[in-house]
Amino acid sequence: MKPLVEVDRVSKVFEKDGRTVEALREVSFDVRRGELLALIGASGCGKSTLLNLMGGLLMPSAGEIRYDGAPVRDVNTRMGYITQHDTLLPWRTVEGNVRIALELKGLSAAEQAERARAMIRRVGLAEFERHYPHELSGGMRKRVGLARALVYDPEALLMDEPFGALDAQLRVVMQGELLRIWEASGKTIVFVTHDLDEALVLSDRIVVLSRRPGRLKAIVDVALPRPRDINGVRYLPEYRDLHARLWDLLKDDVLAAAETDR
Amino acid sequence: MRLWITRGILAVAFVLAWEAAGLWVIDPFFISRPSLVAAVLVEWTLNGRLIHHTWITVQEMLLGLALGSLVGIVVGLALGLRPGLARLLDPFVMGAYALPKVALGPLFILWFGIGITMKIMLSAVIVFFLVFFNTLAGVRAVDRSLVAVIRMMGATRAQVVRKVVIPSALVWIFLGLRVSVPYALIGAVVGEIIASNRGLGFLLSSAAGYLDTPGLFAALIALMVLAILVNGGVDLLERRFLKWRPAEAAGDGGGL
Repeated sequence: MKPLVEVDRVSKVFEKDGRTVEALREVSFDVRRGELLALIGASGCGKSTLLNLMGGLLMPSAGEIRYDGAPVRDVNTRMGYITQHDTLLPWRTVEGNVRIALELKGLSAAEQAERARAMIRRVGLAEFERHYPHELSGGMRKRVGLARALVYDPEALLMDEPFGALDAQLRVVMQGELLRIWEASGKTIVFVTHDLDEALVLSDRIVVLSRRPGRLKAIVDVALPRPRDINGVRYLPEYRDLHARLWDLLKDDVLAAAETDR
Repeated sequence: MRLWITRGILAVAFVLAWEAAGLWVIDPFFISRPSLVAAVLVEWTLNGRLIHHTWITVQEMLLGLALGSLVGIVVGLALGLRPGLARLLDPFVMGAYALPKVALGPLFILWFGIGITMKIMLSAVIVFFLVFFNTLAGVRAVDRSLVAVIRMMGATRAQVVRKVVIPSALVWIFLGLRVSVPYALIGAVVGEIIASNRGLGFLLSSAAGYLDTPGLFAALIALMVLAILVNGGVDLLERRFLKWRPAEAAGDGGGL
């Protein structure tokens, strides 16, 4: 079957204050239909840029991204986008936020309300429909973001460090929920993370990028059983082997990035 | 509660000190006395002058505020959404802004006469710039990732403006409105002082013309009460429209 997204020798250069910054150099990989693909790499390797390119929010400086066989030339509205920082509309209630995509599509008010409510229930926030984002905890806001991205049923989801801002326990809970939703929906999901464990626990394959300029370093198959038990899987020997292999791939870049940050 | 008691004591002490100063220290020709001022206020209230002139000023202020802020919001949105045009027009806008708006008074008399229209226009011009700059800043401050997410949901440009840009700029627009309310009053009153036969500014300047200090202070107090009431009204509106904001942040806006 044809891949859903083809990233074909994509380079991206940014111009900033007269200086050029090369973010990505000749990156190529495919995203298969229905897979959970993780993008990892040291900080500043262009992971988020790559997501923005796939979403059509940025255009590559060279190379091409194809979605379902067609080159992406504009905002790709067939993919939902969940950003790193939550981008809920603060002036709308939970329900208002979740229904916005349906509103944009011009669905009837009754259908908007019905579908939004069903989705809010699915992410476990039924009692908070009337609350404003600032009244919710970080984890609840992430759930609203997830509900908002899922309610209009896009074919694929792009997630930029979706649970980065959460504490460790809540992360595990949210990862479990994401897996559950993914298994039920069969959607293609591409997510960026800097957390090796998150990548391993969730994904089918992991794309490893090098430091800036981001180049493709490796594509690692995560041959761990599905459906996956988020906690149990960590104790499998295969998990440890994969973890060691990924760390080997990343180690030098991570240390170098830490050095320049200092 | 204790705070209010202390404030009440301060207010009474101030009035008593003023009364005493007017009786024994300073010639009441200059500072009058609260009792005389109160007598004038009572007289104006009873014979309807107070209501009549206040109403004129309120009309000028509100119409100036409405006109100035409407045009300010529309132009602010238009330029905010077209950064190229905004850059092109920037020196012209800044030039017009630099002009003390009160200096337009004589020109406006020529154009609109000495009736209520001239005060409305003067007030509107002042309000326009305040609301315009705030709207522009508000549009520029819109979180780009909010826009990106909404665009990925398939929003058209018009939908982005309606669902994200305007609601998000509303905080700034309100800030502009709240700052301009006292200025709208200034525009109306200055207009009346320059040339008029009605309004609180007219009461003020005619009292001064007759060397009627109690009348002057009475008009000033009426103006102050009016300004306080109007500010309270804006507070109420703000709370109604911006109820989604965290309480502390909403309070910040009020402080400006």
